[in-house]
Amino acid sequence: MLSEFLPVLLLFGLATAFAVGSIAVSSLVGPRVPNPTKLAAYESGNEPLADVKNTRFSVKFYMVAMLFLIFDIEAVFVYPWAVVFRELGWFGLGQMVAFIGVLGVAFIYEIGRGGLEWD
Amino acid sequence: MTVLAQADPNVVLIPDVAWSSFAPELAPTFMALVLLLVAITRGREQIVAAPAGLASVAGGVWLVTQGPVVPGAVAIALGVGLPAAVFAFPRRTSLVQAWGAGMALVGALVLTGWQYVTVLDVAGDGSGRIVPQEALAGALANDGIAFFTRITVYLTALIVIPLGYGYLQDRRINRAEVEPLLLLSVVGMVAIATANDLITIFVALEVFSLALYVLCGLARRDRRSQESSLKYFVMGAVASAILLYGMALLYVATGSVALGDIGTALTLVSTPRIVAVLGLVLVTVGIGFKIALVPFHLWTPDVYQGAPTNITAFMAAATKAAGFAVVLRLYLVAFPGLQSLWVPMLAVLAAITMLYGAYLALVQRDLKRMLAYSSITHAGYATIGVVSVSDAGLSATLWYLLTYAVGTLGAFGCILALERTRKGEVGLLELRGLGRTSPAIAGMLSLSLLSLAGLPPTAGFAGKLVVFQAGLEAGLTWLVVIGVLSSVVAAFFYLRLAGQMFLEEPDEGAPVPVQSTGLSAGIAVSATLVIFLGVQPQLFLQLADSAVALVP
Repeated sequence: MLSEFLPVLLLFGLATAFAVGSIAVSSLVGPRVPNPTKLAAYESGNEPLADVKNTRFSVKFYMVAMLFLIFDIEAVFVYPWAVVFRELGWFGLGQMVAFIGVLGVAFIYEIGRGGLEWD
Repeated sequence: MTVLAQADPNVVLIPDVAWSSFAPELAPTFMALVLLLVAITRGREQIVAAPAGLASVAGGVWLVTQGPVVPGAVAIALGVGLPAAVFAFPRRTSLVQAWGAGMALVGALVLTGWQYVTVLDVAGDGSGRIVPQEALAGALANDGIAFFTRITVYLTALIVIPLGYGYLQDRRINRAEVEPLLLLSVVGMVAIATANDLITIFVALEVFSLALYVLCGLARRDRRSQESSLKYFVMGAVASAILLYGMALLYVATGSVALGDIGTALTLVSTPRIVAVLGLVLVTVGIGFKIALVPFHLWTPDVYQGAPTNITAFMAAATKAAGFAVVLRLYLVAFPGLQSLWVPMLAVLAAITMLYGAYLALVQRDLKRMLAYSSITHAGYATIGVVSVSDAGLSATLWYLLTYAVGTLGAFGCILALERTRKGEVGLLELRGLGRTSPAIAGMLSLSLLSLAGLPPTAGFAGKLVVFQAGLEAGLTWLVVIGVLSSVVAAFFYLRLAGQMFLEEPDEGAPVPVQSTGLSAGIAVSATLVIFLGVQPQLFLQLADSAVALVP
């Protein structure tokens, strides 16, 4: 039983070795020519607005992220269902309607509470 | 399970859904969703309540014509009840929600009774035990533990709702989300009590924990409430991670997540023992956190003190019942193969828990904190039933949790009455002379404390008696002696408190309890149950005995 997980362990070890190895090698071998632009925080090509450590951002981003997660997970469930949609028939349809219905209630609640209003 | 078209290699298994096995949970689940929508209607609740009620009535009529009369009747009653509540209390959303949640819980209790009569038929072999039933391809075990935990959890929630209604209003935290979250956590607790595989256990645990994290932080302007919520969340997340790690190791060792299969695999020689033992230990830590066994109890006093008091009452009574339900099923179904290991381990934990909890309860100055330590001590007593590893121990634990629930609900109800006139906590010294100013509340509080201490003729006495008996039968005399010692310490303390209330003069500025209909009703019901279960324990003891039936 345990030996079945040997490949997983190997992969784990390889991944760790690769990550540690690349950092170590690049810090040992790589040339270092710093200039102010290189040292600046990377912000998608924009001028950095503020110090990274003290930047506060609105809790609304968090709400959007949560909403995204919910619908992302929903998509994860809908995909395999769509593949075997015909075989599952009415039973599958009922289950999916119930699942999306529960998510829908939460979504309506969120809209009703003003969770999607930006200002 | 029915298999369709076996010749086709692309067949999809369509499972038979045994709706009857989780029928009681459907009522609170649907009510929670509807109440969540009611919360955003801004005073025009009928927009949601009327269509939802109509759908429920239609579903109920369909059910009645199909055969199951009781579930249909419950659906019709709820479908009529919610719009009626909206009609009776116009523009008072929180009152409508309290009534709606209460109705759903009554419906759930009715359905639990219906399940007992029709689905979980009492076996014909004269043992009086119910016949356990597996459902949803083995994910649920609808057995005695599930049945009895349903009673305890639904009853607790039903008492907590009227207890807390006025309190939430006074503190201005009667948010529209309270009842839906409460119902959802109730559903999670019952789900964990029926869960028969590791995945269902974990999901159910998260369902009720997440709802409780939010409920603890209900008074979000109050720093203590914030602390309570955050502490519970962070420590709970760590405990969940440890539990999940343990479950993963168990899966690695046994190759299954179903508790029955794990139980079989652990008796085999081919199972890697070290991995399995590690899994067992980690699972014990994770679950021990939820039921607050010492040394995993550190969160309890702070969380219990900071949370709104009605939520504390609910957590103390219901979470413990749900946690012990999963402990019973895990250890008795999945881990009999490792019995030589976990029985001493849990016994030692129980002993430490009883002594440490009783000692720390002694030195507290705050009433809520003291009850938090008392809840820790009671986890120790209930564990005696688990480590007895017998039918008597199983039924004793279930029964003990019910007696503890009614006692602690009564005590917290009295605190609610005292707290309503003031913002902060109630210190123990402030109780002096309460018996002179308001004898009713002081009497009820003394009664509940006596029950928690385990003195006759209260429910607590009947509970402790049965648990200690089971422990003695299993040969755990030393553990029972420690249990008795710790009860004596606790009894002394509770009696001194009762004496303070009745024999001393009240101070200036002592809290004057506020009474409202809901609060009085809730306290009266719990006090009645404390006396009833103490004097006439036969009915529920019989139910607990009949609950000794596990899905293999």
